[in-house]
Parts: sequence; structure tokens; C-alpha cells
Amino acid sequence: MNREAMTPLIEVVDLKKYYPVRGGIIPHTTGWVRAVDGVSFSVMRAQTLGLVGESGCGKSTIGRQLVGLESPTEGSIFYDGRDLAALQKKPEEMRQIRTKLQMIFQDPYSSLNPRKHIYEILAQPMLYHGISQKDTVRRDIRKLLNMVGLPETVLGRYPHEFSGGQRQRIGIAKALSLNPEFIVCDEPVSALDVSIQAQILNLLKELQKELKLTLLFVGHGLGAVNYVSDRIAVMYLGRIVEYGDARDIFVHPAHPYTQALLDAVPIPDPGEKDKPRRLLEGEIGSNINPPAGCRFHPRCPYALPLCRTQEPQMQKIPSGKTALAAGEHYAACPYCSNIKEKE
Amino acid sequence: MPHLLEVHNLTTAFTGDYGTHTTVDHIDFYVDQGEVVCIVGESGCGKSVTSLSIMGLLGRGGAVTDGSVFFAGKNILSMTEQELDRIRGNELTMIFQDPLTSLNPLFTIGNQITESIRAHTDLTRKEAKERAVDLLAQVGMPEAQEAMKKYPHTLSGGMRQRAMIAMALSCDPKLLIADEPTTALDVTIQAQIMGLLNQLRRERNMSMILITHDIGLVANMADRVLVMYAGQIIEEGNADELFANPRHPYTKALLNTVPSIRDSADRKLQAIPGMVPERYDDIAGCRFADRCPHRTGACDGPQLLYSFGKGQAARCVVAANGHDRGETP
Repeated sequence: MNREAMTPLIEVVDLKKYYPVRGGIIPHTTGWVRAVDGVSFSVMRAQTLGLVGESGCGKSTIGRQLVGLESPTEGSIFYDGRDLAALQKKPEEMRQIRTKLQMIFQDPYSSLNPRKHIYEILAQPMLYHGISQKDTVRRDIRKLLNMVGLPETVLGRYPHEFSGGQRQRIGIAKALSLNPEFIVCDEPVSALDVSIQAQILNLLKELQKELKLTLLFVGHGLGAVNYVSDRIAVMYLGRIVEYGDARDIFVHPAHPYTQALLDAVPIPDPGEKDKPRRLLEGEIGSNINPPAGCRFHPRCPYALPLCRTQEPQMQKIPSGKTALAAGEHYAACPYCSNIKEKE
Repeated sequence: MPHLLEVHNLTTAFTGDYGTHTTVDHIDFYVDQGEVVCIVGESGCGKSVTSLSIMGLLGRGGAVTDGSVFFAGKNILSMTEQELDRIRGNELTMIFQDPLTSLNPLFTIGNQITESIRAHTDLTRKEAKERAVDLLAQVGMPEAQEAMKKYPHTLSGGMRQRAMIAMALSCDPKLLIADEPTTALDVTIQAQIMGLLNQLRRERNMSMILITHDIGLVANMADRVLVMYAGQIIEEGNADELFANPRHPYTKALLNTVPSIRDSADRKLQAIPGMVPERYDDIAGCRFADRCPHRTGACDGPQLLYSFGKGQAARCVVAANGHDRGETP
């Protein structure tokens, strides 16, 4: 691992996003949905951070905030050392930085204009941002298509004429067209068939290597996240509960939630059919009134009285047996090191 | 002993504006008492249409054009609607991917379960109600008595699926067809639901057909596996055998293309080039040939299911020839 890889491109500090809940006879704000509630992490240059968690944990909201589709309620996002909130007042600089932050969506169909053919979809942003000129744009687009593995004949066709996998390739080409440094991939393979998933995952990995891209990979398919990620952040109800080197977390999960999450994933091997699993009881709580103390305590098999009152802080976990160079591993559970010993 | 469900040569076609397409093409399989059979394949391979054909729920434009389906010795394809209604929802039931679209939004959960019990038994209203509460408790619905009064939209996805399972089990079915029952659910809830289905089917010695695209679930649940591709069964076998020794190139590729949480950092996923053909009923030869790395001239003719012993069979002439010579392609 070289030095460059160890400097963060994106730093997120105490990020929060609350949405108002309106109700009552005379509509007024009756409460707040705490979609993201105090999250800090960094994404290293040319690496992939996988953000995992169940629906409603706030992982997609973080992704949307990072590319500027939502503004944070509180907290800051630093891109290459510059605070994005401060840049809002400088539209010209912001416009430039926006080209560097791109996004790939779960359903590429709803992010492609159905009335425009692929050439227009790809050419317009490139011309607008001055990435390409009128006389060179066709050549640049051809290069893009080549990169994502599409034939040139697609240019005159409309989004509805493509299969899911091809549409996702177009979505990737669109994200790449502005020479970004950082791409948020929001569940990019969840809507695709398994045989197509591998094509897209491999494509993302190759492109990352070739173009030195920094990726945030949001997903609930843990196998796919494991495949692409260098580091992982596990979220539960708007908070990160575990953060660290991907292999370390997948092999030695420390937080009880991460353990249960990994145990719930069916392993494609009939030999493991009857292995004992730690199954979670109950369902993910509400993020309007999140449980006091540790947010996971109502479902936690190891919860102690203290967990109900005291909000746990992130603490360093002594790396597992596979301690790697980047093996920094944190979990927000004061007891998880004891739990490990018990087993 | 005769099989509980026997499907012979089942062929289903849909007629639309673009003509008639055969989406399920001469399917043969059986399900024994107490057995879990998984049908696995990608979208559009005909796995759901197979189950809808068995249940007689094809809807407009769809029709079974050939074959027979014997359930407990009777051909259900030749039954009238009334005769079918006596079996369907009673001995033979189905749960779907999205419980919200299969529950009536205007009636409470309790109302709907009670109704299905009363339609198939001669219990009184009160007895049916007691049975419904009992069922809801069995499927792990918290506060079953209270849940009876709830409307579907007030329940979470996992709880809705539990209500659907309670309804499906209300008449002690012999066979449950579960069509992607957990695809819309989070992974921890999926583990709860699959654990529940497994426990209930063991208690009742119920058979199950599980339709899924999740290879992990297949490995976890299946006694036997049917792999479908483009409307045909291209491989079948016992789960252990099929995972250890897949014969058809598609099955092999499918098993190699799935990322697992156990993978090490240096694993490279094997992608299957190309995509599933959209119109496959006019392909004369092997339907996977265009994407297959082992294609030979012999693949252009119609492919039979070749037996590999121990109940395993694959629709691949190359694998069959290699097997005869003791090689694997």
C-alpha cells in the first residue's frame, strides 16, 4: 500500500440529517426522522468504503449528502480538505467540484431521461462543463463506451431499449463522463440478475484501478460489498456501529449487530445448512424515537442494564488474527471484546 | 410410493400483441412428501410461470398448452374451477414475493385468515377465529390477539409475510409453493422467515417448492434443486451433489458468479458474458450456447437431459460426452 492511498479524499465529521415529520389538524412539525445521526468516517484515496446496513439505517442518505443531492442538517463534509458547506457560497468553485463527485444509482432507468437518446444523455453534461468540445465530444464518448463495454451503436437508442445490465453500464458511463475522483455507488447491482451482477462488479473494480477512483459503495448485498470494499462501515439506525478493514470485519465481526448481520447471510454451500446461527429477534426500531442508550439494545442478545442508558462510543478493537496493515478496527460497543472472549 | 406432485411435460405459452411465446418448455419434475425442492434461475427463466401454471393462476393471455400435473394422484389441470378451489388454498397453497399485493387492504389480517379457514372447513366463526389467533402465534406474530385487528398497511414487511404464511398454513397444506418469499426483505428478517418456514414444514412434514434466485438460500434450504434457464430445466439433482459437482456450464457459472461474505480479498468473480435471451422459444439447440465457453457443433441440435447418476441430470451434450470419457469439460 503506497503513501498516496493512505490520505483521505473524503472526510465526514459528525454528519446529521433530520427530516421533519408533519402532522396535526393544523399541520406542523411534530417530530424528526433522524435518518443520519452523528456519523464520522473518511474514505481513502483510490480505495472503496462499503457502507452496509438494513433498509432505513441511513446509508443512502449519506451517499446523497456526499454528492450534494441533500444538504446536511449538521456536521461537515470535507472533499480534499475543503469544506463543502463553505463552498456553497462560491458557485463557480462548487460547479467545478460537483463534476468530481458523481453518483451511480440503483435503478439507472429512473436516472436516465427517457426522451433523450444515449448520445444526448452523455454529451450534454460534457459540453456544459467544458470537459469536451463540440468537435471532440463524439471521440470522447466513443472512449467512454469502450471503457464500460458498450458498442458504439447504442448512441442513437433510447434508455427503454436496453436491458438492466446495459442501462447500468450507461449509468456508469454517465458518472465517468465528467472525470470524477469520487463516485457514490448506491446499490448499483441490487436490481440486476446474478449473472449480470458479476459483470458490473468486475467493471467497477477494473475502472477503479485504471482511473484511481475513490468509491463509496452503498449496499445491502453483503457478498457484493465484501467483494469490492477495502474498508467497511456498518450502520444501524442512523449511526455507525462498526468501522474498519473489510476483511477484518467480515472474519472477526466485533459488534453484536455485525455478528448477527453476517450470520443471517445464507452461505452458498449446503455443508453449512445446519450450522448454528445467532438470529436476531424483533425488527429494526424507529428512527423518529430511537431507543435510548445503545440503539441496538432492544435486539441485542448481550445487552446489559447500562446499555439502555449510556450511548456507546467508538473504541478501538484489537485486530483479529488477520491483522492487516490497515487493520484499524472500531466498534461502538463497550462489551464486544468481552463477548469475543466468552465464545 | 407415488410422488406428492408430479409434473409431466408442462408447457405454458403466453399470447400477446407480438404473437405466442412458449415461456415454460416441457418441464418434468416431482416433489415427494416432506421434501424441499428449489427452483433457481434468473428473471425471465420461467420459474414463476411454472408455479403459476401448477396453481392455475396464469391470468389473461397465459395457457398451459401441453402436459399434466398430478397432485396426490389427481390431474389438477383437467379439473374444473370448483374442483380446483377445493384443493387450492387448502392442500396446495402459495406465498408470494410481495405480501402487500396479495393481502386485501380493506380487511384486517384476522378477517382474511378467518375467511380462508371458513372457506375450506366447517368451523364456526368463533372456532375459526381461535384457530387464526393460534396460527398467528405460531408464525411468531407478537401479540397475536391484537394483530388480528390490524390492516396490512400498518404491518412491516416481515410481519406481513408472517401473516401470509399464517394464512397459507391455515388448512394444513401438503405442499407450499413459496415464490421468492424473502426477496423484498432485509437479510436479518429473511433469516427469521426462512427459519420459521423450515421449522413449520418440519413440524407438519409439509413439502415445499422454493422459487428463488439466491444461491445462498438454495444451499440453505434445498433437498433437491432444479436449475432453470430460458424456459427449460437445464440441470437437476440433490443439493449436495449439485453444489459439489455441477455438470451444466450454466450451473457452474452461476455458482462461480456469486460473491460470498467468505471470499478472500483476491477472489475474482467469474462473470457470464452476454445476457439471457429474451425470445428463446425459437432457439433450436442449446439455449445457453451463445454464452457458453464449451460450445461445439453438437450444441446446435436439441439438447436432452442426460443422466449423471445419483438423480443428477443436465441438458448438455458436451458434459454428457465428457462424462462418458471420464472427463469434465
